[in-house]
Amino acid sequence: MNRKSKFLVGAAIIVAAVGTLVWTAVRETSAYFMTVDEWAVDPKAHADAALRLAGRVSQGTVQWNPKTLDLAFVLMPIPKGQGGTHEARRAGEVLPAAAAAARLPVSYNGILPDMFADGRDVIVEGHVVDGVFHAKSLLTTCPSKYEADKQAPAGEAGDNGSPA
Amino acid sequence: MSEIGRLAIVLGFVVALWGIGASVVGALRRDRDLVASGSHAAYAFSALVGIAVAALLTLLLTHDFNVEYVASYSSTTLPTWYTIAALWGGMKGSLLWWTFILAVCNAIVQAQNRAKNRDAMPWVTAVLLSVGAFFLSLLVFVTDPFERLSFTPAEGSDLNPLLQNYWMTIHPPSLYVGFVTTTVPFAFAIAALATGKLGDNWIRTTRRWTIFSWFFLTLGNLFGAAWAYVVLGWGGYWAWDPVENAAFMPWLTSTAFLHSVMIQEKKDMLKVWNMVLVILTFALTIFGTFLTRSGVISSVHSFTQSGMGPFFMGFLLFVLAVSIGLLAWRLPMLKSRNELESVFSREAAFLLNNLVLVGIAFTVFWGTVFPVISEWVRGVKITVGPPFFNRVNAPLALALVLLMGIGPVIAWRRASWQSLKRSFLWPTATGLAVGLASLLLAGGNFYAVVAFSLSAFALTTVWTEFWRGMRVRQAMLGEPAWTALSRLVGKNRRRYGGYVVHVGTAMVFIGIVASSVFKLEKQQGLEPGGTVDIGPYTLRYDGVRTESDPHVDKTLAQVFVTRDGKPVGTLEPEKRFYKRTKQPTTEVAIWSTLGSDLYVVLGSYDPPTKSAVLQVFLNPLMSWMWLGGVVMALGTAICMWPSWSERTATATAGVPAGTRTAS
Repeated sequence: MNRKSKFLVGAAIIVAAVGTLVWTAVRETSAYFMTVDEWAVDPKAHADAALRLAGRVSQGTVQWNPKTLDLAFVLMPIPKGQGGTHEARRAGEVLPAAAAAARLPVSYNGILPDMFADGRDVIVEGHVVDGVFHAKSLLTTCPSKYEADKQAPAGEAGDNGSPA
Repeated sequence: MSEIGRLAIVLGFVVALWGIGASVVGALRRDRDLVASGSHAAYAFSALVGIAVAALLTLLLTHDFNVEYVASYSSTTLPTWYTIAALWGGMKGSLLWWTFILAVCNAIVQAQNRAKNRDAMPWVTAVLLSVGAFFLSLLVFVTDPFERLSFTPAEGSDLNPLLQNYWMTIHPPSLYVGFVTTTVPFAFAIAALATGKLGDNWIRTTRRWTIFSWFFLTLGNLFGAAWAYVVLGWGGYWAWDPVENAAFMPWLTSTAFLHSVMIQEKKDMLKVWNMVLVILTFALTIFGTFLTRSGVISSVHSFTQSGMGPFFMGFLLFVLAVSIGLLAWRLPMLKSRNELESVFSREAAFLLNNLVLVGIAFTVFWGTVFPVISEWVRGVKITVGPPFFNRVNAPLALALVLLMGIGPVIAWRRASWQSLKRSFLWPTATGLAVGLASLLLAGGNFYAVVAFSLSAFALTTVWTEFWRGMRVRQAMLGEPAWTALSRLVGKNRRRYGGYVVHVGTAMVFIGIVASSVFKLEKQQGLEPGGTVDIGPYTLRYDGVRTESDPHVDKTLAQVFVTRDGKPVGTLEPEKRFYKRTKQPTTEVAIWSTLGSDLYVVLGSYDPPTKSAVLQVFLNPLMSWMWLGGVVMALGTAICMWPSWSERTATATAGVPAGTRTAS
């Protein structure tokens, strides 16, 4: 075996090692990322899977115990056109009406994120056990409401044309 | 003022187009006047973008809320410092700021190469102006930073409170400087491909730019980590968020390039590989901007989402197509005469280091775009989180630290058994001793033990290099120790500066490993007077005090800290409420020592009962990471410092260097 092919074999081993690392890690650490309504179409399909669900905190369902840090709330789909990147987005797909009415109780233990509140859009990570989503982590998505507030006046300016 | 700014960016765009055309046509026709005109256009472009930035800054500082950008990202109560930072706080401003840094670099490149690199310069000018024109075209045609509103709000909606932090004032500029300066080596690489002058000249010309760029990429990443650490309040500093990955990937390929370029200089090998790395680094900076601006990949902290995605994607594809096309065309000219001789050689160690660095970059890239790919292929979005990145990169990082110890001392070409034994006896012994010690002290965590052991190995090789060099000077020249050491470094700044960077890297690595493996965490609801223990610390919650000003309301918890019974002081973790944006934020309190960071978060506060929830972290060796960053910066500064011998050498050899020779 000449030197060049020795190095090629060495490089191939490294590439294969990195590939294997990536492959096994993907298998063991990945989670399905979907919206609540997408999930609700067929809850059984993801019965034991790690999930990452985007949805909205349903108004008036938040129960928070500051002593035990236990949080419970109900997650609902984000209404069409309000969720930015966190919406059911598969092109042309129409979800059954039942999916849009889906409500999923969530339980979580820990400190609340600053932006968490009734009606906010959140992403939860965890598993569904007996119809309750046990969240390991709870993220509030970007203050999109705040962005939307700002865009209104900007649109008006566009109508009047920008100054020369 | 907004009219002046608007006019400046429109003119800047036109001037850039002229400059590109004049440079390319001038180069092809060998028309000196046209080439000179292209260079003048580059200066004019810089001046015009400078005027636009000055205009936007003036609008911000005078609180002209009739301008949409000013109304969106500042307010009358925003401190001046953050009002200046608002320049890059929003998307439009950050695009303009990006263009401005590029324009400044372009002007410096023009000045440095007034009388040098005659053949390459028109192409360099054309590439730099093309990138500039792309960014300006976005501002001129898509998203105007000087756009006016139909009415004038009485008050602005203020900068995002998460950005109102001192790290945030220096993190984006550092990262942008790092990102943008990768364009200069890229431009010279493209010029080398275009002219067919593929010798070492382009590499020598851009050597200092490359180190400069790497310096700011390093700082930018570390400042970003520091920002996340003090602002986001989850006890960590790195979450493998797409936005963070976007900044990390060019750093990895840039690091690979800094190393492999030495092989090209010394052995005339890896020419194609180096071209690929330069192109890849630049492409990754554009890709990073695409990631943060497009919303294609959802991130917890992409602060602005916009319709910019397709433009950046298009530009990225254009850059890749042109670069790969040129590279393929010149491939026959890039053949190397030399080959690797032995696996036990510095060339092989450097090559391995490159493979590992690019391997890490690839895994980060893969993990970042995985949701998009899985959606294409399988129709479902599948994400991978921090566990993926940690699992994949931990072994690769260990390999990298091992190579960091081997690379600098192993002999070129072919190391003999004798030289291996002489170079690595002590480092190996130290590594094993430290490994054994940490096995006894830290217990059975495999990664931590190996990581500490390898770090000790790498640090000892650096130490022996300094020690041996110093002793040789002492013996041969009779110099006292300090003189010998400073002259040793002074005569060969790049080499010894590089070693100092390695020391810093090892420190950062030790900090990362210790703080993630041995982290302690507690959450507890407390009445006033209640206590919580963590490690050697006891924290007593003594209620809150409040502060209020027109900009922000603060609730500061009073946490009295003792260590092994001895008082340390009072920490004040806060809850803030920013009045303009009506946004609550959390400010952490950190008690930092060389051994560990005590990191306290006010989780929640209940005014009627005065009870609070504290979240407490103990992050061991956290400060090593920041100190390591300082050491890295110091080492890079030693590398960059212009040395007299280098200047005279290049001047006599008639080879242009990255710095200006006497003018």
